[in-house]
Amino acid sequence: MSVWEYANPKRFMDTSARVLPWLAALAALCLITGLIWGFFFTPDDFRQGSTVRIIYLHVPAAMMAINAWVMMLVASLIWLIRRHHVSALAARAAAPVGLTFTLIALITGAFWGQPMWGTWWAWDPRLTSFLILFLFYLGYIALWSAIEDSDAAADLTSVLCMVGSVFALLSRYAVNFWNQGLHQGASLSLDKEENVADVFWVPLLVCIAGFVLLFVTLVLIRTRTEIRARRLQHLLLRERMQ
Amino acid sequence: MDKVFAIPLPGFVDWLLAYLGKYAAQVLGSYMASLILLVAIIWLSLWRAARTKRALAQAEARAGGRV
Repeated sequence: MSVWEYANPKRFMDTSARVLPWLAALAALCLITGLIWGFFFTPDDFRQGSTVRIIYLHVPAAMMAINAWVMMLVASLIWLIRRHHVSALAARAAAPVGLTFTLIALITGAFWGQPMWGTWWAWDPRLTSFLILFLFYLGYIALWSAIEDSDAAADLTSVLCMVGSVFALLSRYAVNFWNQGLHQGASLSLDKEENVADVFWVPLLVCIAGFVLLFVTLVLIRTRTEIRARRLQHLLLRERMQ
Repeated sequence: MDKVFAIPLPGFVDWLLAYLGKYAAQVLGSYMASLILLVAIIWLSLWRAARTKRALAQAEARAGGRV
């Protein structure tokens, strides 16, 4: 069976209906376990004190803010190349979720930065590129809503998504590219020496899994809604024409 | 009797503030803002899903077998 079969809306609706309850339950389990574990059962950091607990929200949200845009990019490319409507609708569905994660990363970052850096905000490369990514999310959502012809909207938002991908990548690698600013490098790495201590790392991984699963769950729910909304639009148009 | 019906919430809040120490406001602020945003996006997604599903069912019923 080819993955392109899921470009059929009927097939997508059937399959997503089957997996959604499991995904939602798993997302809730991971998020509740990870956050309670991290908040109540991990020690203070010797330098950052109790603010280290913000890591369980900040890092997964920031990761997913970037990954959501990458997912939108892939879906947009599929739309531009193969013209599968479900992929365009999936990109549209992911944008508000990515926007929420970006906002969480910015807010928790400000709360973390204030005691650790002495400021809520700095025009640091990573923070600035993240703010621009946030604005791109807003622009992307606004563009979808502004154009009535859904195919034209999908075309234009796909192009916007490709442009915004530059800032998604910059957000991820800004610290490496410019090697300046207040933000530190990656907290998680396959290179063991760079990782945070295991006592923080394990609950952090559970939280990351929770955020990934929550993202997938919400995107599936919202894509299903977009498919239904398009069908509804089609029916209402027919009613008006009769 | 008072002890039986006493709500442990103020005790928990005191414990929480002591547990988080001098950064309690920042940590609790982060968690509250994030949880509000997460609940908002989940609620909005489910609310719009239910509303669209209902509207589609009504439109399909009106259309009958014509589509």
